[in-house]
Amino acid sequence: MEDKSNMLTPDGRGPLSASVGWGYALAFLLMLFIFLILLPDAEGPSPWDAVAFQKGVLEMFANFRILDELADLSIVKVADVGKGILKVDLDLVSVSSRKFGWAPFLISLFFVSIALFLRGIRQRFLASHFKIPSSVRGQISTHYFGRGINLFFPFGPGDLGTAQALRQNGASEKPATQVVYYNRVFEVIGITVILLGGLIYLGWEGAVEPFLWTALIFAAVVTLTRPLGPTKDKIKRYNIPARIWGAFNGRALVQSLKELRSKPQLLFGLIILSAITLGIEIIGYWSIKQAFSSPMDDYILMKDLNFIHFAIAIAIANIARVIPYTFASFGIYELISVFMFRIFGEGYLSATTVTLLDSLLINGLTFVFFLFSLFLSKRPSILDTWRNFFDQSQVKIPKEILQPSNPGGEKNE
Amino acid sequence: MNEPSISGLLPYIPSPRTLWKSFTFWIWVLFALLIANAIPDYVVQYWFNLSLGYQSIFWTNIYMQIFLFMIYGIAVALAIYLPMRLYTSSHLLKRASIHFSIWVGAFAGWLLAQEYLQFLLLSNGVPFGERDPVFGKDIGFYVYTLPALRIILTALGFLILLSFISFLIARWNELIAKKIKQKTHTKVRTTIALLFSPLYFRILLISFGVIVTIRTYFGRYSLLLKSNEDSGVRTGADYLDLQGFFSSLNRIYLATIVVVGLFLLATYIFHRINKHYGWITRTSNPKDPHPGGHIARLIRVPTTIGLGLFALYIGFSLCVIIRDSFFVKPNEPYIQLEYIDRHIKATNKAYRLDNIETHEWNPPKEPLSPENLLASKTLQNVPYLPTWVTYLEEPPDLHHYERINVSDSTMVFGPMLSIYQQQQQLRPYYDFLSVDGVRYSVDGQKQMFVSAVRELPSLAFIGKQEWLKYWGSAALLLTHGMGLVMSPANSIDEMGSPEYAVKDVPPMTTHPVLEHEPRIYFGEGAKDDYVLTNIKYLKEFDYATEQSRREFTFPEDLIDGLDVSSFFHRLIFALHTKDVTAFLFSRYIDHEKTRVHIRRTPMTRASSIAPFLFLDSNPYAFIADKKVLWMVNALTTSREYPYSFPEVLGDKADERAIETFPERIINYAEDSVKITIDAYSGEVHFYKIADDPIVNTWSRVYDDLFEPISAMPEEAKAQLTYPLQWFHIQFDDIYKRYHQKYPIEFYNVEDLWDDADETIGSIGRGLSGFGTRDQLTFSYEGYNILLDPADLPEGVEAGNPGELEYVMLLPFTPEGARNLRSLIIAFQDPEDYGKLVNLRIPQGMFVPGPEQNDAYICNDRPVHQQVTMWIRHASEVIRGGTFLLPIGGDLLYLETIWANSIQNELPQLKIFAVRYHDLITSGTTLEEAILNRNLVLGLLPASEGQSASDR
Repeated sequence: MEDKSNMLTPDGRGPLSASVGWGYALAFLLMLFIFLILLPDAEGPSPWDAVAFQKGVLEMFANFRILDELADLSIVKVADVGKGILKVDLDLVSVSSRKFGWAPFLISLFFVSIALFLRGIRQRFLASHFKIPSSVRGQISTHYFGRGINLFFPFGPGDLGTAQALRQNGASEKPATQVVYYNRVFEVIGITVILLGGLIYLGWEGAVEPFLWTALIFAAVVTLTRPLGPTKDKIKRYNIPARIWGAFNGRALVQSLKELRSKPQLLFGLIILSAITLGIEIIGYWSIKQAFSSPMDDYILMKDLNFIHFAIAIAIANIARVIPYTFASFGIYELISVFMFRIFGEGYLSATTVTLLDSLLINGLTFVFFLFSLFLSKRPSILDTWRNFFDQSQVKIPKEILQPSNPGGEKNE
Repeated sequence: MNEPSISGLLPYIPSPRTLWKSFTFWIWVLFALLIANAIPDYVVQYWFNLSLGYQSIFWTNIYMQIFLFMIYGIAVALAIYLPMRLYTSSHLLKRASIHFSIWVGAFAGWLLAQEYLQFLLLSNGVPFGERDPVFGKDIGFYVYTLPALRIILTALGFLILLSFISFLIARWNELIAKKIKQKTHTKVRTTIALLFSPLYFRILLISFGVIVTIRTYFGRYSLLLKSNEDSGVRTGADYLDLQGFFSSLNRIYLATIVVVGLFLLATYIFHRINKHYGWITRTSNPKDPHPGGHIARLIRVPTTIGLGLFALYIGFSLCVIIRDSFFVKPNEPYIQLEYIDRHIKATNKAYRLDNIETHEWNPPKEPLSPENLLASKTLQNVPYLPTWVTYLEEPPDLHHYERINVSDSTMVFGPMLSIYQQQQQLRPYYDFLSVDGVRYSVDGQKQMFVSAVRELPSLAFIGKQEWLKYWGSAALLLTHGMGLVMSPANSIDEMGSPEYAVKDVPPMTTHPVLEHEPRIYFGEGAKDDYVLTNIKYLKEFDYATEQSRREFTFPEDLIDGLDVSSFFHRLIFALHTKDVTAFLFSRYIDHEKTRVHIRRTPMTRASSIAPFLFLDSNPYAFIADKKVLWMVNALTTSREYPYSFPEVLGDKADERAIETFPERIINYAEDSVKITIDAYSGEVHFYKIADDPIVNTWSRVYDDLFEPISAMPEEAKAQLTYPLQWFHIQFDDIYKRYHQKYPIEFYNVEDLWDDADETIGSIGRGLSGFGTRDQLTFSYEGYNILLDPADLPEGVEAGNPGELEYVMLLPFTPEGARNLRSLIIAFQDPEDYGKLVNLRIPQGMFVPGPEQNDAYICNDRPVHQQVTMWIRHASEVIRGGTFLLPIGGDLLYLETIWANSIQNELPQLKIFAVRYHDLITSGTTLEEAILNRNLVLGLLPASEGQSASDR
């Protein structure tokens, strides 16, 4: 007889510490996978090949442009020049002395900052819609507090953090929670708009294969990360559309949009704002890709990838950030992004390099915004937020939202 | 409709059960996708091999892959599952472990199966018949056995690690389930001790110990491949490594003993723990938590011994370091000479430089008369129309890049390619991708030609063009290129343009020996794309006739092409090419007759059959028995040859290759295989030309792959060339240093060479002024000429005087200086194929090098005036390659200068500049230049000429 006490708490939610442990472990496992398996395979040789591994890592570092800096610090010796502990053969890493302008890098910082800022603005619009008085402080900055918390904890406690922060600043519980939820809804809508736009732009001929792969990855990411929260629809295991619908909390999504129909200007305004926000973020990622390339054609990272494919790849990967499964979506975002770039014909090395650059950029800037948010309005403590999140997760989901799945949109009351 | 509940709007931590369900579902989906993706590739590979008669190669590979996959996959799966089975009662964990063990086992099996080539070598290795100087092992042990052993040990290490993790999870879960901590009220360390007490853990520990011990012991062989740059022995064991008590070798032996000791002690410790604590887990009511005493007391003695062993190792290592500093370094180089000698000999042997013929070359002081010079067959046949294209090197030198980039191209010098593209491309869909040098006997006279293939580059190669916009055009109609274009390499017309031996569409030839089947289905421009032949309703486009078009159908009796007769075939191709609609729905496909042609570039074709060969990046096409054949030079390589210096093979290919092959780090290679590919039928042949142990091993692995060189048609044999990349690595990377055979000379680096540089390419293109600062200097690559052995210095025995030999030359200067130091000659005709000669200028004698010669020519008044004139009149001036020619035992430099219109790229050869002894002469033909008439200025209208000279 199975020892149920070892697996489930009395409320049926299971030992959540195991889930949390998994949230961290998976992140490290996935990153390990990327570094040990994907990088050595960059140029074709076996993952067991130590030289190929060395080459892959060095080439990646070279793409990060820190080779020269490391040489100045006598950590690496570039070819036969200078001193250093590790010798880097330029022939081996296929790089040479390169000159870079800082413009693309600054542009990428600027655009991603703007994209982050616009998400705060969107929250402000939603707060206004849900009638949170304008006297309540932190209607923008609390968004960054939540995003910042998600950098450290798995399964997205940041939303709770934002909602609690809004409450501490004077908002009541219901609108605070709704603002946070709707902000997430529009994040998903923004992704969907970019995806649809991209696939339509590519046309029938160009979009068939990307569409199939996109749909599959989309399904996988959505059902794993559950971007719109804790639906508990009863779903058959292999009913993929129903799984996506359930994971998207489709019923709640449709209901939310119906509710916003009463203010069509706001609805369409926010949809456009969301698409623009993600578009700007994608341009930021594109810029950092250019910034970390050399002026030579052959050293522009993913030079053959067109912008639309790039945008589709980023949009899919961004689903993983809506509710991070691991802390900062560490591992999952990277894996999806690399996988999507691979689908569009890029090599592992350049795909991994660009992905890591994107992650560093968005997570770095999120952290900076988070630091500012700590001083701009009232907020709960970070650990309290996590504790509340954990405790709240142990509460069984109320029966009224444990409804059967109904992708067709028929109400089932 | 109810509003969504607030509590339902925020994220929450999912239960482990939910996570597990999602995770397993998607992992299985992923597995299904990976398998679905891999199957078409394997099936197509089989059909491809079958179509060319190489199916046995496929089966050899697949058997080994399946064997490795099964063995390792099952072993890993069991290693993960067994501990769960044995040490936990949790059904959840047991069920999970079944999933995990299958996933990880399959993945691990796949990883090991990728190494199938190494295991094929291991099981078929042909001994080298040479032994290493330290351990007396056959070199084959290092090349075949050691790498495979390393893979096996790594794989076993991973296996044990995975099993250990599985064991840890199972045991921990069990201890928690049995509430051991509550029962015993013990400290954490007792729980940890209990964790490791089972026998299974000790078996894992001992197994891991055995692996670590073997690895440590086998570390001694790594000494022979160790980098010892500081001691002068650049690769291999030096004095400190092998001699004396405190040597690196003894340190490895001591480390082996220490490792054995540490693992035995650890096993003993856990045995004692089990003996004293193991019963706790077997009883339900333990009374005394410390029946056998505290853990600290149990492990005190063995831990002390272990620490002692470790300290012994550290102490010994310190002694080795001290000995190096105080007794070895101060006595270098004398005590290292024996080891440096080993290194020099091994490197020369591994790079096949031990049999090179070296001759002192002391050019005579008295020059030959112009008539005698002109009588030289070498000079008569000098290929002044270049048979190569120079590209901007990679890694890019920004200094060069900024100058070249104005033309948005990395080509530095390629007049023949430009001329052919201008004069012989003829139709938009054709293109020339490179030019090569070939030689034919025309009317009994060996003659060198510039040759290029008129290809029809595919969609993947040139991207979407008007004529490739539709699938029907790209895959059904425009299926093949049209013929060769050829010009004698030593002949121009009055305009300074090449004369044509083969030209136009369909190709017209001047001599029967150059007639050929013109259809090029397999070429360098056919990258990654397939074509369909023998389709319904349509015929392939053949070529444009005077005002119409001609159609063609690929003959059914030719071997290439995979059939699409069944739905399964079409489905597999649809999945393989990702062109689902074409293969499943196109009505053009005739189920009985249509054939698919894939892997149509020479490199792809050869490498998909024999991926273990290193392919030289410069395939070239020639005519043999009226067929156009591609020749690909292939090498067998290793990077495990003891004491030999490693280099990167293929790094220079990036700049010029249309299709690059992945670079390899090697320290041994042999020019062992020649591959021919029929450009019309796709037929592939592998000819073994060397008695090399590695190629003999592959020959043993794949019985049907290689044919002897005697089976190669004579006309193909007459086109053999020495692999350019191999030539480069042999001389420009290795011989320039390793020609110093005396250890003390080598240690002191007294005679380091550098491949000579030449000034080449456009002068001042896109720049405002003319001057030497606006010219680019590039390193020489090997260049081909027809050489009369009678022109070589006395004493060089090769070929027959008066009979032209096809040779490759490469001049060297001393490192840091520009005078000539040596000229390397590689013979390429079948009789003397592979013979290497080093003509060495005496060290104390000044003979100008190519770059110095270029400077002389640049400063020569007639040349300078003419070049200045062209540039001022908006023409581009291109400095051609500088030929260093042995003539009558003497040395002559020839440089060509080309003029080009900036608006329209059509270079014309306008000046021949010759330097012979201390004379620079120039003319509009080679003969004029030799006869020193200096007629260059005479070509211009008098007023312009006057004006130019006045200025």
